[in-house]
Amino acid sequence: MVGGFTKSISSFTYRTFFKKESTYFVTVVATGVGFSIVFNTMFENYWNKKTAGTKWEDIKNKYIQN
Amino acid sequence: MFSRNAFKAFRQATQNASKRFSTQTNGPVKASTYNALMAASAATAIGSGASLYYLNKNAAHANMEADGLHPADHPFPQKTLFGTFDHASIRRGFLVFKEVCSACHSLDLVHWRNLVNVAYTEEEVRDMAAEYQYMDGPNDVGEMFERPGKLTDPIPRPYPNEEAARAANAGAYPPDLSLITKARHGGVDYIYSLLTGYCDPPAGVDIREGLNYNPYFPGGAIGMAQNIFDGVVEFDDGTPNTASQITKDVVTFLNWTAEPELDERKKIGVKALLMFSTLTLLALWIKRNRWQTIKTRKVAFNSPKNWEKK
Repeated sequence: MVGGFTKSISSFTYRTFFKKESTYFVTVVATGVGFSIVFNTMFENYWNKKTAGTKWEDIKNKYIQN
Repeated sequence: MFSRNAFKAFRQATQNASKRFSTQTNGPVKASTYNALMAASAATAIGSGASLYYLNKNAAHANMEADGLHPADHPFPQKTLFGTFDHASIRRGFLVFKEVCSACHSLDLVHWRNLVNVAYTEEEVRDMAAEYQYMDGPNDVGEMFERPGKLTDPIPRPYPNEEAARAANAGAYPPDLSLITKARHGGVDYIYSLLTGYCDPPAGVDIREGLNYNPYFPGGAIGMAQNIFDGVVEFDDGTPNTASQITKDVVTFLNWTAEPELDERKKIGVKALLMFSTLTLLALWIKRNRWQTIKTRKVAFNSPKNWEKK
């Protein structure tokens, strides 16, 4: 048993991720990378649906000759 | 001028109004009265400022012809806050430019490669560029030679320089259109209204020989004649080629030449607004949360019993 601690999710999070600066740094970077991947993917899907039919990618199939 | 009492009252009311968590001591001016007075004076200042601004802006005066008729608000999709270009319209607009406008107007800042994957495929642009001949640098024996166009070449100019352009157009210089929608007050609405706004001058207005009447042009007398009529250009995607459709497409194309980054800019803008607004609200909440301990703290002072009065 590592010292005395409260058995809660917030306490667990604090001890594993936020207590030591090294793990905190890794948490921040990993969260940032993960958030940006998820946010950008979700936003791009929304944006492509919103601008469907107006972009070059939507009309280029009419003009490609292979 | 403030009397000394009124000034003291104002100062006390300021201090009263800023104490949010202390007990309200009623000075000569209540905090609620002070707040109401401040709100009323701010509203008066903003209201009178806005009124004077709009009255001045919309005032009628005898020389309104010099400003040009104000263009109507047209529903171009790229005008709205989150709107982007219709690239099919850009494609049609380039065709209109090539067939109608490029006879007199240059488009110096646009190169053939700029059109690739915006309105045309790479093969299409190569074929279009190759239709034109460009003068190229000295060859091995020192002669200039002509060669068909490449992707890296600019859209060809109708005249080699401004003097030649003026000479061919009765002294009037057809401006370069690369940035015209950003360079004219009114933007796309102005260009559209101008191109579709040719009409007979009103009674009493004489336009000299060589100029044409257009109410949207500042001064009313423009060197360019009407060039866009129903059916001047045939579109390859079957869109009906009415004058208004042709004008709408060429104006969209000119908007693209002036603002090619618009699609990307609006996309980044929405992302930025989302992120910054979320982070702002988060920051405000976290600040107030962390400051609660300070802002709700009470200080008690128990004076020692053994102080002697001097």
